[in-house]
Amino acid sequence: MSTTDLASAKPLSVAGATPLLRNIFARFGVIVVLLALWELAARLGWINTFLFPAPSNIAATIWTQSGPDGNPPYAMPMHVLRSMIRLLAGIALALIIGTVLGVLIGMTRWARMLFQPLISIFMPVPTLAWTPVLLLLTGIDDRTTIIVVFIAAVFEVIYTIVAGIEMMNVKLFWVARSMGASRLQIFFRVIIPAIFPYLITGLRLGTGYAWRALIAAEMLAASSFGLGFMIYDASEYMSTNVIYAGIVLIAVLGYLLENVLIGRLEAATTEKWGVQSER
Amino acid sequence: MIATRTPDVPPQAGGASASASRLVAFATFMLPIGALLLLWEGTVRLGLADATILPAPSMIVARAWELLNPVGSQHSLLLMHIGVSLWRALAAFVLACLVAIPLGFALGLSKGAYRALSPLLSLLLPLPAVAWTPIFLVAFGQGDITIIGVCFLGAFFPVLYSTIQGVRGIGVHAIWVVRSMGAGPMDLFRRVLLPGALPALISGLKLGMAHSWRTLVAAEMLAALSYGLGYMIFAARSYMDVSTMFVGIVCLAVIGLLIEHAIFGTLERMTVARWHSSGKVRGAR
Amino acid sequence: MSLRGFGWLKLSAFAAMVAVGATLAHAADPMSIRVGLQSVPPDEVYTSKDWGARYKLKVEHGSFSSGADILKAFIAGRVDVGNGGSGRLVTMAAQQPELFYIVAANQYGGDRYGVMVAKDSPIKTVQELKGKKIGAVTGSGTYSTFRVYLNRNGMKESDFQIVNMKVEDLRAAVQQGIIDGAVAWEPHVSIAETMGVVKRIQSMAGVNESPNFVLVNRKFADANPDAVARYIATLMDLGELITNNPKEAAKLAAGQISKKGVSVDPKALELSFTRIKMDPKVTDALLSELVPVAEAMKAAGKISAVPDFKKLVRMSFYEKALELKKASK
Repeated sequence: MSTTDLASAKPLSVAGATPLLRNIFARFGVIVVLLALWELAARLGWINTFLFPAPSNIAATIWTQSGPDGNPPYAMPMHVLRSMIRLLAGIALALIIGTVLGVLIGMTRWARMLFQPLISIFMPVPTLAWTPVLLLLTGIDDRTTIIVVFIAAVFEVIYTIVAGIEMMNVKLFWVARSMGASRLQIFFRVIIPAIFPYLITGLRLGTGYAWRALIAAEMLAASSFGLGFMIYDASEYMSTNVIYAGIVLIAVLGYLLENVLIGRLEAATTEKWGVQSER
Repeated sequence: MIATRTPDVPPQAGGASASASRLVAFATFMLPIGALLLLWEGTVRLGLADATILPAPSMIVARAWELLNPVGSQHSLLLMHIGVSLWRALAAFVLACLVAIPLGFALGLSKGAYRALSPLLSLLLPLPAVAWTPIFLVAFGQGDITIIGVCFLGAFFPVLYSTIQGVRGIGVHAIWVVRSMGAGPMDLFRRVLLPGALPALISGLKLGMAHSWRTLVAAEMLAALSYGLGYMIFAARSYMDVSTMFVGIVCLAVIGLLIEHAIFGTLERMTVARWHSSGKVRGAR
Repeated sequence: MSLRGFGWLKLSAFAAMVAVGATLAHAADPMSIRVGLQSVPPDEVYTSKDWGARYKLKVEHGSFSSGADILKAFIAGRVDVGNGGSGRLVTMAAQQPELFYIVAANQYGGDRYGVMVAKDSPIKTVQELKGKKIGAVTGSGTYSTFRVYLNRNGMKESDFQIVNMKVEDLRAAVQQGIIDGAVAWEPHVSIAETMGVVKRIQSMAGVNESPNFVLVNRKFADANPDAVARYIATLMDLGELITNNPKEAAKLAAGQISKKGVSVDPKALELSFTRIKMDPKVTDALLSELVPVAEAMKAAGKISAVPDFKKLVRMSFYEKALELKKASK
């Protein structure tokens, strides 16, 4: 819902910036008011500041932990960076393998017969259930979390790409073939552009699931660094301000990833190219 | 809505051959799965994979059988763990519905409230419910309250969001018309709002239950103190009882599968119906 | 004045006396104490049997998933007895010394920690692991002891590639060659050895004792010294069983664990029990190991001064426990 709103705000030009600002203000005004109320309640002692630290406290925590005084130094950026690296690595894998598999399944009968039942069985399995298995196969937190991200994202990518292939005009394919194009050429010049909007959609959905899965996997499996690890570790030491700082970062980053980043990517590519996504 | 599962078998008229084709369809569906299981069993038996790291399906089934049977005067341990997990997920889901549905109606009907709160909602929606676990752990420690609390949050937002969308989707004209005929709020609710929002509401409920179970998987592994599949998995992990661990994982997976399968119609909806919807590209032809 | 005709009065007076006597007897008899236990084998042995029966002590078990959780409950007053060692104990001693007494030793002994490699690995000593990957839980007491060991044997952490992992994942990683060696604590080493997939190349026995102590809530102890003494007597019994008859203790622990649905080889637990020392007597030698930990924490600015641990110790309960034990034979 927010993606279309943001896209329609057309933030790409200066003249369009003012309505954008007004837009942002109107939308986030409520959040600001709520935060102000929370701060007031904390200062007046109306609420338990241990369980609900004041927003100023949370902000201060983010600030100090991001600098050299943090524990360990530059803690926040390191945690964020580690999570981001794991997410990107997993998504990159999901994109590559998912696209190849998706195209195969969409285009060939044998691939569909082989993979369709497997995907139906494995897709609804809760992603986190794989974590203990992965911990056995590789106890190292980076590998485990990256594979979890991969699993979470790849199904969406395959699913939407297959749908995209269905929607693809088969004549394009025939024309290219009749002109003697090789398989590889067909793949990159015909198929990929045709399914591109679906790929982006699959990417967006996959990223959403992947971010969720990553945080949970980090809480279970990470021994050092990562936002999920950070908030779980903080609960051992009862540092509620760090926990809330982490939650804020996770929420903001999740929102940005799902709506803004991909939304902009969509705007920059598919809309420019004049193809609209069906979803 | 039942699409044929395989492209090879030509659609045939008549009862006997129709059920025969369905049987063939089922067999073709199970083939890759069966092959995978056999492959798995084979790699472990042949020693290519270590049974202490990847137990064979037969070992997992054997261990599940052991856990299923009541030992002495006690009840079945496996059923106990499964029961506790299910109760937690269901309780969280029911609670979430009790809060989210009325709230969803309220927000859906009030344009002002919706405009005000929608940015907050869209910020909270992508937030994984498991991220709330540490706060619950600090406040309540491990145990049922934390697990059910976290799963509640997991189910709450999807149900709320779907309810709001469902209510907002009802044309305002329908409400005006019924109101102009003198309908009171109760009538309005029963005859316009509820039926109008029902499709979105139901899909929201399905989503909520699915989310509740998925969140449970993670929350139990982090916060279960005794009983529950997540607890069983992690206890087995501490003592390197790999078979029991896999039994737990398979149960989590199967129950997750059943929930989404039963809820979302058939497995076809996820794959086949979409993939066989049109006469476009289908196989190398 | 004769008491004839006041039968109902006599009867009710008699009944009242019996009632009062019964209540007094009942109140005096089951002394109770709330103990925090984890899912480690010695605690499993404790849960499996009613150790307090011999001393007419009702022990209420609270189960927790880690020592840190037990301490949290201890501080909150939800349990009367907790345990703590090194970093956590030092922090509590520095911040809340008036909260507790140290009344007994829980478990200690460097043999609890060990370095393991894959069963068929050619590596026989820690020296040979230089330059290779060693998995460890870098925040743990085990790792601190390992560092002391390295120090004493002319090695440094940087001689190895230390991979930070969780203890339950070390065995499978070593087995598959993801890491070349691992530093872990009991019972994880024993279980892995008994599975036949690793061998222990180095024990930390003799490096230090790394003691864990039994802590009791001060208010509770002052009000119920008898209960505390009886509890320590049960600890003595437990220690005796684990030390003298590890096989029996292992059977009890395995049985208790199977109630969760997990199956463990009792032989593995037996092996791990032979490596743990469980004598509740608090000695100066054990206490003195807390000092370097406190000094390191002071240097890191985590505490303001090194606490006086001796002042926190109360051996009177231990002495009483000895008497009780002898008397109840």
